Amino acid sequence: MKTAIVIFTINACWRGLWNEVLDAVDRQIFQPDERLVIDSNSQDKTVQNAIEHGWKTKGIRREDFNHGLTRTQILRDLQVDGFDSVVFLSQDAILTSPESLGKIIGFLRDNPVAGCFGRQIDTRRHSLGAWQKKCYYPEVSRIKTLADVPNLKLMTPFFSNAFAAWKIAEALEHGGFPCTMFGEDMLLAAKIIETGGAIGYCADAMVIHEHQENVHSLFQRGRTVGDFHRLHPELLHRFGPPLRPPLDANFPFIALRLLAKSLGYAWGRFRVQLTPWLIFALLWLFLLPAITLFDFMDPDVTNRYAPMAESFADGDWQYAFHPRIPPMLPVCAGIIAWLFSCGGYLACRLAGALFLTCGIFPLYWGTKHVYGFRVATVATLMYAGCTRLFRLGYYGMRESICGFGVLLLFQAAVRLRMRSSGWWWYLVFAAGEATLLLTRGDMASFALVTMAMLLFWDLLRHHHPLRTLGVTVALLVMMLPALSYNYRMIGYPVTDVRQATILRRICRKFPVLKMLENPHPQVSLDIDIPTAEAHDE
Amino acid sequence: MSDFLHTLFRGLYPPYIFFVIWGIAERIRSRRWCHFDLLLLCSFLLFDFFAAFQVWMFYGILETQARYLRIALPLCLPFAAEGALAVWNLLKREKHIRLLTLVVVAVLLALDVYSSYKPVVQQYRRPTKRIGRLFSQQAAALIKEDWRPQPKPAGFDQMKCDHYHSGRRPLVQTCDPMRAVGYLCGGQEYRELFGLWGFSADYIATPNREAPLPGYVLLSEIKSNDKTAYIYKLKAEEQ
Repeated sequence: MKTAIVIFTINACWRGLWNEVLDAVDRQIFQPDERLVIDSNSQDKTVQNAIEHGWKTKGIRREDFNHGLTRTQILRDLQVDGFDSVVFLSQDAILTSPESLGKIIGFLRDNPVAGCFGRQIDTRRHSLGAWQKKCYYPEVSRIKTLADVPNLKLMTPFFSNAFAAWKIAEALEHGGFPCTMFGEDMLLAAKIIETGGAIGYCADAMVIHEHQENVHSLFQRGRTVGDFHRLHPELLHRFGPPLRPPLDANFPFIALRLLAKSLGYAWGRFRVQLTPWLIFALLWLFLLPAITLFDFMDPDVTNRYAPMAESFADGDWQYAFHPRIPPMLPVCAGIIAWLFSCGGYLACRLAGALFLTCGIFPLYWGTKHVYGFRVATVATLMYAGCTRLFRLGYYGMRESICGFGVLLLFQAAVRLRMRSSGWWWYLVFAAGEATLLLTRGDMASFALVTMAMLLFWDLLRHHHPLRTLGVTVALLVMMLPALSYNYRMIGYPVTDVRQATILRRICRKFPVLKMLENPHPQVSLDIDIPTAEAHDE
Repeated sequence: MSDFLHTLFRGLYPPYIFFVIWGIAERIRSRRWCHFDLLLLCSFLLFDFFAAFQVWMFYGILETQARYLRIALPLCLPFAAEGALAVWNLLKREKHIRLLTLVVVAVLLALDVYSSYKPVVQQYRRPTKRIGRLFSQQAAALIKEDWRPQPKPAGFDQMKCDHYHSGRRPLVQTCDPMRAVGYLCGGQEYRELFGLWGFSADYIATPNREAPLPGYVLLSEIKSNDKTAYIYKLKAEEQ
């Protein structure tokens, strides 16, 4: 077998292990036919030392380096030069004995595997690496195939190019290493196993491979693994969950480091889902002191919403509703007041804060689907950091709820644009419209325009307006209590008294619409036209 | 008119507008502008248009409030975020500029937090607001203690379609910065509506020393530093 050994380097002298790595290779009984260092613009003596130890060196620009593609290119080049196998070694992995290289190449040659990896150990006492490596790199060699999946789960395709040997032809037959910045070894191993091939683990060939264990580097490492699992869910789906090493006497020594790595993993794997929840929690954290300390009462709240909420909580329906004030805020605040036995003013502020914080989710998910994760995160942070929206969250006013309605419409529009199937997003659209109309009566114009947009979209996509009709019906159902109340009180099925005055004018022009009128309303529809000075809303 | 335009400008939330414009320009420049962007931008502008001219449409008065316009602000946040990221990508190239940017962002964040809590801080620090708050609480406590529940007079439960009242007593006639006294004492603020229905305020709480209205007697004075608030009570025979 014509064999080459390849090490990818970048400032390898930094940790002071580089010469040890090169010396260990020099001491090997089995000497490969070619020794190659691929260096990414190292600023130290990495290349110089390698040349002194008789290695051939090649350079690659950092921005051109890719763990998968660069290795595949090396495999191709070596194949052209007539090589049968290649050993990949990490720049900080030290071969432990002069037989290490010979043993891994022997294992590769003697077994029907496309590639095999050697055992990695961590010599430090009470290190997280030692604890994990004891589990991931056992003392017994084995060959892993599809049949091992039920037992080994994600450990079946587990593979590490930090110290590994590959049969070049077989690796290339499976397409080589995929384009990735992490886990190229495992992805190729999984591909080989899934197509009926085998990979091996050679416990007799050993390297010392240790990583720094400060909180930052552990978090980053955990995050990289989490990212890898997030980006390749098919691996977890096909092979099962990753193996968790059993706890042992070392646990008290490694607990904090394990926590740092686990947090990194959780962030890497679930950050798309976690981000809005973290911003949600952060916003509440900032809102709670403001809600607790702020007791300057806006007249709108003290004269309307707070007493209405208290009346709702007390079941005093006569004063819980009013034709001038759509019921969303009084009802939500009333429910909070009833649930927590708090005053109407506090309930209004809590309701405002609740809707402000809940707005994070439609904004984040809607933005993420169109503009991607980074833009969605920044947009959501800007939402949380907008001082004026923040203030509305603890003033106890209606605007936070309106904002939530607008964001529901936004998310529904995004999902409808993505052609998401099902009625769910049409219902969300209706819920957004209802939230707007049941919070502020003057939102009717905007609600009408958005309904027209939906109708246009529906006609364009489905060539019939059935879905928009469905949304209209759902909207009417959601608003039915408010419409019925106003029909009884002021004679028109609208959400706001000002809409009633407009409808009255329309009914006078088109008598056919008179059927919409209640001839015996409980309250007359005479409203005072405010002057510019007196207009206080 | 200038007030209206000023309110419109404030409603667009100037701190983000720069990033919104940058974000839109960036999307157009990089040929990523799509129909959905147009829909989003139009929705934002339409919403603000309706919010700005709603009062004018109903009452013919050109007036709005910035908070009505800010409801739609989240609709332009995707553009603002694009703009912020584009600016960051531009600034992060040079190490010293990157550091300077981070310092500026940190300062802006601190200002942002302060601005968020400003009304809270002001109600404890600004003399007029602090005194208004103290007067309101003390006046409410005094009225609550003095008030003896009475049966509602005939017609008190009637409703007017464009004015809400909570049906509670006592009715407290107040003015800024003590308008919350009515609610805090368990009753409600006395408004013109009650006068039209023939009801008088049960109490008057005011920071101004005025000649007592006929039919009212001074119930108490509240002093805080050099300021005084006065609470008048309707004479028993007038009730």
